[in-house]
Amino acid sequence: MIPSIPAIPTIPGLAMALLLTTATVCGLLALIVVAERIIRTALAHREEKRRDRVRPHILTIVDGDTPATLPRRDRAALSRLVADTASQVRGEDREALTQWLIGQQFHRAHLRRMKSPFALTRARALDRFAPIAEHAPRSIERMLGDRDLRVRSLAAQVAGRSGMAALVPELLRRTEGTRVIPARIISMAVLRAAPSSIAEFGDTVTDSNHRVRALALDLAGQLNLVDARRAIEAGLDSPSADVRMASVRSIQRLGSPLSLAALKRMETQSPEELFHTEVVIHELTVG
Amino acid sequence: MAVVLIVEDDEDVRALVVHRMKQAGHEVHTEHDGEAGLGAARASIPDLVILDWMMPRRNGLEVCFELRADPLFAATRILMLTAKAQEQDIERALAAGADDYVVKPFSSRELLARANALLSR
Repeated sequence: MIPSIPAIPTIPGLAMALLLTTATVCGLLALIVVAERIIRTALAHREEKRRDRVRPHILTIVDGDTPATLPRRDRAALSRLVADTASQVRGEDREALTQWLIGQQFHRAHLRRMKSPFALTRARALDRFAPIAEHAPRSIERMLGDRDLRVRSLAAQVAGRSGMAALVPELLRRTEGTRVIPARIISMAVLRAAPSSIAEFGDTVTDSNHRVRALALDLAGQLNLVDARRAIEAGLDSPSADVRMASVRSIQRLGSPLSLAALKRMETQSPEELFHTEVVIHELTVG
Repeated sequence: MAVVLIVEDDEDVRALVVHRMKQAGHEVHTEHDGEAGLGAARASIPDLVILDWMMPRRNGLEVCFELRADPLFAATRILMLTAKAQEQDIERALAAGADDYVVKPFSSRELLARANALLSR
C-alpha cells in the first residue's frame, strides 16, 4: 500500500490560514479592550456609589466632629473623597479635612510610594499626598530633588498649590545646578505660594548665581513685596545684566519714588537697559 | 430665610455649599448644569444664585448674562464660585452682572459671609 503524502499547502490555503489567525487575534484584542472598559466602568460606578454613601460624613468632619465608624472600604473611599475635597477648599474647612486625613494615617502609604523606583508611582503618590503636603514640607522638599523631571515639576506645583512659602528658597535654587526645574514652573509655584515678606526668599535675593538672584528679585516685584525694595535696589549694582533688568522691572512694579536715587545712580551697560531705566525713572518722577 | 439656588457640577463642592447654606437657615435648591440651573431659577426665583463658571451644557457666564437680561431676576443676587482666578475672568464676570466673585479653593465660611452680605443689601 502506498503511504499517503501530506498535502502541500497552496498559496490560497496559506493566505486563508493567515487571515483566520489575524481575525482571531483581532477578535481577542477587541474582547480584551471591551472587557477592560466594562471592568473600569463597573469599578468607577462602584466607587461613585461608595462616594455617594460616604459624602455626608465629609460635612461631619468639616464641622469638626468625628464621623461614625465605617467599614474598611467605605473608610478608604471617604479618605479619597476627603483628599479630593481638601484641594478645593481652604481655611478652617481644609484644616479640618487634612487633620482628619492625618488622623487616619492617610499619608503613610503615599509616603512609602513616594520612594518607589517607578516615576509614575512616585508622581501618583505625590499627587494623592498633595492635600496634606503643607504638614510635611520636608517630604515635598525631598521630591523637589527627585531624579525624574516630571516628578520634580509636580512637587514644585504641589508646593505652590499648598502655599508652602517656606520652600521658596529651595524652589528658586532648583532653577540652576543639577536636577533643575523649568523656571516657568518655579515662577508659577512661587507666585501661588505667595510669600508675604522678602524674608521668606532667604538668601536667594543675594545668591551668587545670577539666574537664581534675578528670578528671586523679579518674583519679589511681581508679588509686590514692599519690604523687598532695598534688596531689589541692591540688584541694580550687580555685574549681571539679568539681575539689573530684573531689579528695574521690580522697581517699576513697586512704583516707589524712594527708588529714584538708586535708579539714577545705576550704571547701564546697553542701550536697551538705558532705555528701560529711563522709562521707569520717568514713570516714578511723573507719579 | 432666603431662597438660594446653587448651580455647581462638582458634587463635593455642591454638598459642602448646600450644608453651609442650610446651616444658616436658607432654603436651598441645587442644579448641576447651566441649562438646568436656568430652569430652576425660573421656577423658584431665588434671592441668591451661587454659580459655578465651568459647567456642562451652559457655562456660568452665559447663565449670568441670561439672568441679568430677564427683569424677573432684577432683585436676584449672583455670586460666582469658580476656579477661574485671572483678573480678566473676574472683570468679565462682574461685567456680565455678577454681584460677587469667590475663587476656588474657597472657604465655605467666607462664602456664607459673602452670601449673607449680598442678601442683606
